[in-house]
Amino acid sequence: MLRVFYRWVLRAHPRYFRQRFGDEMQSIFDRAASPGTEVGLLVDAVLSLLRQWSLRPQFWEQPTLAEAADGVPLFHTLESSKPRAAALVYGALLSALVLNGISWTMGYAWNHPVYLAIKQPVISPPAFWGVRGTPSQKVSLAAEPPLYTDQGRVVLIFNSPVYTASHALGQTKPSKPEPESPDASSGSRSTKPATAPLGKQGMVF
Amino acid sequence: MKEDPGSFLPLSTAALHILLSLAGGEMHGYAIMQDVQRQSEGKYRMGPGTLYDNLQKMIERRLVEELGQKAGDDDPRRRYYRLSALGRGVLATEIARLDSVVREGKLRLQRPRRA
Repeated sequence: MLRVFYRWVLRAHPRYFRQRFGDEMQSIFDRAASPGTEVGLLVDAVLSLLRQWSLRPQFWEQPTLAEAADGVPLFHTLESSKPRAAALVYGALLSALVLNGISWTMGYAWNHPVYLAIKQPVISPPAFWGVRGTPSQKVSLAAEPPLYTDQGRVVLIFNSPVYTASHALGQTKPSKPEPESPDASSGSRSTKPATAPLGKQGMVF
Repeated sequence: MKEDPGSFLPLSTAALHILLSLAGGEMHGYAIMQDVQRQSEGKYRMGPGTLYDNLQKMIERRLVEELGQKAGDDDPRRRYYRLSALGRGVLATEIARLDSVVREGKLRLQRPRRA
């Protein structure tokens, strides 16, 4: 009978206090075997009830983070008990699944690229690029070679055997390039006079 | 910001006994009640309402830390508590204050009374 009264008194406590300490107070009451002690505990619970409602309004509700921080940013642990083992296993499994999904998506995107057709503009180089020594001379732009593009790279070809200085000035027609000597193809430079067509030189961007 | 232990003094009788009990190690509520009764040789009895009201205040002021339930305890409703570093400092400061009070009291009581 006293246990039922004690339970009622505990239920009448403010919710935050009851949720936090109600079970423990009930546990202590259950351990008290003698009737005299039970009466004392019941009186103590009634006094606690009056005290909590009249003197402890700050503990009626669970304090929020803003109240706990008191204007100062800080980290606050809401629950001091350790998480359940099942929750840890579930979290680990979920993390592994998400990581696996991200890895698979990145791998698929790497192996299946999407190509966009972009029309590459034709850029004409300055006229004097094919001329040696006299950039101030007037040069026919029509005779200038276009830039060669190679899948997005821009290949600038100058001093080529085809477009010599005289051709760039529009004085002669372009001549066919001489076949490269075997030693030139192997990488060694040939020493030819200045009037001869220059070797291939280019810049790749 | 570090709090000054002296700002918590003087402690109430209940708070002093609870901090003294927890200075020996982590305990649940019922063990604290029994330890307080043993400390005072049965002269001071504390009910659960007083105990948890004080514990609530001391947890809020970060003198005591709540550890939660322990696996393997015979009563799963029990929660364990322990003294924080701030609580230990407050208890040490209070003991030093009480020690000076006791020494001063002994000195004054030993002096012969002047008529």
